[in-house]
Amino acid sequence: MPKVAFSDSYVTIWRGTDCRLFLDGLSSNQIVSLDKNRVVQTAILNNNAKIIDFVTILNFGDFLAVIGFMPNFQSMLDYVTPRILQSDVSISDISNLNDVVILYDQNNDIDIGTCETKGDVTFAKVSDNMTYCIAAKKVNLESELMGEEFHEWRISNKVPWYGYEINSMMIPYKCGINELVHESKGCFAGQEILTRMRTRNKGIRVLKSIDNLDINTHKVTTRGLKNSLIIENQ
Amino acid sequence: MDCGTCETSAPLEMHKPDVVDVDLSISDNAVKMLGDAFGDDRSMALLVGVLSGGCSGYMYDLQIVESTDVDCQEVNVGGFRVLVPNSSSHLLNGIQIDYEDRLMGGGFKIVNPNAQSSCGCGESFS
Repeated sequence: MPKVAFSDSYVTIWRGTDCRLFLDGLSSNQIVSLDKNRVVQTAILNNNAKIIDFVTILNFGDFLAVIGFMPNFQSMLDYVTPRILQSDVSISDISNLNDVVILYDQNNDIDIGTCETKGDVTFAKVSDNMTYCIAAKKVNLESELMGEEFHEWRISNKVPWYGYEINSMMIPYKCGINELVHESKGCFAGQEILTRMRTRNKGIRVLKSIDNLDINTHKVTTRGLKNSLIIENQ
Repeated sequence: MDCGTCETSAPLEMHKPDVVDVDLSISDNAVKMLGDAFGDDRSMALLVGVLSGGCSGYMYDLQIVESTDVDCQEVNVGGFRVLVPNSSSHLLNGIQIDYEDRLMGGGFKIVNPNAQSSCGCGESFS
């Protein structure tokens, strides 16, 4: 099974009784109902519905593990921590103690949306052919560097990625994570903008994988050998 | 993740805003409604807090409580005890608590000079 190192990730531990509710109010997907041993992906948004970070959240029962993109780490903290106020939320950074590896392109026996620990490695399956593996550095997860092969797979499977489709200039409906906007969970930062776009069917874009011969180079977000990813009106 | 690393890292230092002495006011309508709610019992207090969330990032949290574990300052306004959590005092200084009597969208309202914008329903602000 192909696997690549998500070397520019951060791993944080969130503790406290208000963690799920707190993250629910600041992000696009439903977190408040995230049960133990479940995993979900969501975008932490500002009031303009711009992405602060796109994160993967694992519920271990006693705490949440939140995995995101290291270049966004400080801006995520700067945004999140002043909003904790009297909520029971504390965050620890364990990035330098853990590695994150992504298994892709093949299915496995883990249920989608669940996480489980086998031996020293935690597996969190976010889609039918993409699983995050997290382990302490001493475990030494063997993996390839994130390169052409992974991005070619992303292109064929229309998987958006940090720095390509997902960046802080984007809102979820414009970078291929449309399905990670929960439509009925209640209020969250940026919700009014997203709801207006959805109800008026205005400005929503989708990720498309198209032949390089057919592309307008201005629209390319990830260029592949034969096909490329573009973001276009749906 | 199951290797002890989760236990070894200390929590990150959180942003702690300065605590300010809150000055707030209550409109006549709100005083009347609080009078109806409390009756003659002045042992209860109105807790005015701020939580993260809502469409605009912060949302108001109003509760009638007897006491709270939250670190609060107590203000006496219009004969009522009002508790304001110190952690959100910087967001609530100068507010006016109002009450709007309407069939839809009525209830207690916060007029907040610290809010740059509010969401449509008025429950959240930034």
